[in-house]
Amino acid sequence: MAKLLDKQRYKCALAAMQTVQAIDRALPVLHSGPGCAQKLSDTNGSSGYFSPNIFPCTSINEKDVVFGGVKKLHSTIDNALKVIDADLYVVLTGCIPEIVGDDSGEVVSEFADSDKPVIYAPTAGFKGNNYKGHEQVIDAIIDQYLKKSDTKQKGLVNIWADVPYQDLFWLGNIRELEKLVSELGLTPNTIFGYNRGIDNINKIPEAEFNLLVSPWVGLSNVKKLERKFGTPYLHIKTLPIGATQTSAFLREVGEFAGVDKEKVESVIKEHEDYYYYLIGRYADLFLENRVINKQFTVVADAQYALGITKFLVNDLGLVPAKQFVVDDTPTKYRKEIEEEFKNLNFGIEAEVSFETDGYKIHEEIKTHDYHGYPLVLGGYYEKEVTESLKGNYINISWPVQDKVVFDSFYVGYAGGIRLIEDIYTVAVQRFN
Amino acid sequence: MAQGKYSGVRESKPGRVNDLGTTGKQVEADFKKGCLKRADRSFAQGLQCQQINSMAALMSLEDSVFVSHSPQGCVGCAIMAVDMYRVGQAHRGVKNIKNPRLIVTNIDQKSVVFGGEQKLKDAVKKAVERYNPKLVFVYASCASGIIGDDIDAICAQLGKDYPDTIIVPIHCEGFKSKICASGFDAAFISINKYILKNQPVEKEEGLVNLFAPTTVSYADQKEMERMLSLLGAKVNYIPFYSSLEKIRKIPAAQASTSICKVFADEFMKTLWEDYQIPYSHTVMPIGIRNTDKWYRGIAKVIGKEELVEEIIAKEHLRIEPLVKQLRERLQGKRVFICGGTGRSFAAAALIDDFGMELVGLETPTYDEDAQVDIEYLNNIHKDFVVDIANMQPFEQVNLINKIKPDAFIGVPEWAAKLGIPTTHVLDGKRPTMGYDGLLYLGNKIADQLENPGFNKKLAKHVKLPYKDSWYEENAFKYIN
Repeated sequence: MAKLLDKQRYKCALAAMQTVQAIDRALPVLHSGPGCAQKLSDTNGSSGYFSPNIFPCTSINEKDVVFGGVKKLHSTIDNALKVIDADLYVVLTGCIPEIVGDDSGEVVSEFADSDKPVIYAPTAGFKGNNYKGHEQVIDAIIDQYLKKSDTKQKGLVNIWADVPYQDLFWLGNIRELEKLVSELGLTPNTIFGYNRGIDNINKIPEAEFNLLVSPWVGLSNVKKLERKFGTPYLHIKTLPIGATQTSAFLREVGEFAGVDKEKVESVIKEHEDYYYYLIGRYADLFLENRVINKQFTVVADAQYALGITKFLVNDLGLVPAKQFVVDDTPTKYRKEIEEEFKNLNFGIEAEVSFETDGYKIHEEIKTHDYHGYPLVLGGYYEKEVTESLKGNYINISWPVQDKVVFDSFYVGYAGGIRLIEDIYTVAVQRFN
Repeated sequence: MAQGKYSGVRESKPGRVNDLGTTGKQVEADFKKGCLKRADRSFAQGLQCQQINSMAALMSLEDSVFVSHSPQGCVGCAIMAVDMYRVGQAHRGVKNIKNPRLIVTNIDQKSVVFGGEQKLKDAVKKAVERYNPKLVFVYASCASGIIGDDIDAICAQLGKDYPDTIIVPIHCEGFKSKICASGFDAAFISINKYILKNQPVEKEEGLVNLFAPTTVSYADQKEMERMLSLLGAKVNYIPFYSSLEKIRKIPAAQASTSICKVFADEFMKTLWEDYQIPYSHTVMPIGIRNTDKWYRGIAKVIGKEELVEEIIAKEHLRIEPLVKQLRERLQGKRVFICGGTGRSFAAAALIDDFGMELVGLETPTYDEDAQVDIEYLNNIHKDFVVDIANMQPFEQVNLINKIKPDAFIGVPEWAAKLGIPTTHVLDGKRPTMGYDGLLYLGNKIADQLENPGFNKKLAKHVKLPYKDSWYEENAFKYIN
């Protein structure tokens, strides 16, 4: 049973409209109640070509609840194709049509011969959160749009990472992952963000392999791609932040793709040299223990909870207090993710709790002895509790109110440096 | 008993329409003849739902917990409320700034089949155990409404278990209304039914209820309080940043007024029926004409008609030279306005202070109240386009592209992408209202017009997502 949420950390499956929005020129068409698009939108880079107020919506009313809304859905799709200029139309259903039993799939199938593809994903809010909704949209693309390719393109790699918009840094992160992969001599293919879109979606079946960089989100999608197109996948659970993890990432990808070891090591060396040139210049800041204390807590989805914990422990020599994974990770994935938190340098193990109840998290933060002021990296809700403890707070996970991110990123060597900048920019502004 | 009759759904009022494309002159005539028909759109873009308004109206009440009996997405935008509440506290000098306490029952697949009542009970139990609040508000949602959870019965039962907490169910299911302001009415109906309960309260001499929606900044609150205190009134500012105690004082007031036309308008009628509290329902106090009208309205109710004229004369003496300077910068500019019911008409009146010309008006509903405003506007301006729409940016850009106004007032995103200078009269953090707010707004508009650089550049580089053919069509093609 879905748990009640006190200070919730995610939205409902229909928020997968943001996954669609992140695909260049793909338009979500909502078959839902009147306010859904507005409630599920964020103001973090959401006013581009398509924005939530632009999404066509059936805005179901009392009459439609009684008599069904399929006619309205039909006219909405039909006219969306006439009025709005998109490459892909993705119909998403909300709570009401799925409770009253509208056959939305049937309506969508009537548009099989339209000039532009129209596909459909059932994303009722009561069926799950937006992590699930995201996977459903990708599934819909695989099942309803993609066709098997006769040829594979040498070195072509589809890269999949966490959920756009839910992840504040989605755009910068995926671009940086592309960059790292291309430095190994491979050709990255991604579908999110500027100038990717339908052409890149079309290339998905031609890839040599799928690279999934996420603790669990998207695993079912790459498995589906393997079944449907025979494309193998490499699953890297830890979002690589900073030198230790990024070098490990490059070695793993390099080995999987059969890249020459020397080539991989030379890429790593060049990055690490510059990384430690920067770190060295600021070593005094880290070594003097007067700016921040050693203990930290991350309150985030599995990707940042794990990625940042590894980075702060392995690269910066901090000590993990309890970490909180707040994305309602499906139970079947938890054991393996928990193991990753134990796999830290010098035999250090981080305690991790899969917890969606913000009240309990805050009670634990309040009672833990951080040996001084805590460092808390979390959602906006953690600002209040961290301030009450006079700690250092950084808003890295949803919900976000304290940070403006265009295409900044925490992935890779450069991303690790950005995160250090963010942490110490907060720390030096304070008087502790 | 008004609450027995009025459902809280604003469409239930005769003569009120939602979807219409017309002009100022035409709509005035059609309304008089009684031939405005309710319509719908066969193609539309997303709206705002009434649950947001019910939540926003109360989210800043002290010692409260808000329980959304819904799937997890219905409070997806809660961060906006969190931000407003935190900023509002900062403006009011609160030192330890708090978040609102918000719990979602998370209706899931099982609840849809077997009902979600247990989830609601658990959530309220947690709310009380964790935060020991004086008030728990329970918000219905589309899902809870359709699966038929009886939130009234559950709240009544829980009220017996927790006698120290008032548990208030609010019927704000999104699908029930296309007018998001219905959510305000739903909140007030419940306040009346579960908190005031028609109990007699000792009257307080000079006390005036000032109903204020979420979008009113602290600067505006102070300006309104200043104006009312000049009339010798004590202000009960509710429900924004108020408390159970202040809500309980509502029936003690000598009179009521509201800052927004669609906020507490129905509730003030109920207060008249239940407690014989007279009220003033006029306009939103934006711009000189509307501020005067609003001010005279409440002054009349509390018997300060002579005094208010003296004050207004003094305020005009102070303000008019400054407005004149603004008029020199803004005279003759053609304006398109889009906003909520209260603000759109208020903005239309405001631009007259600056000598600007109205060429288009987009507002969510048309009714008796709107007719009064339109009659006034038709006397000042030539015929202008009227789009009765809750947002619908595709219609808006179609109209703007044809009309090509010099300035746009309202949600700026789309007009800006057509290169039109844009500004806003909805600012929950800065001044808008009263005599002082007027100057702030005027300067904001004039500054924006003097440097339209950002919007011009934006228009040059980004494209709106409509097909070229759409701009050739009748903007009201899909209203039928």
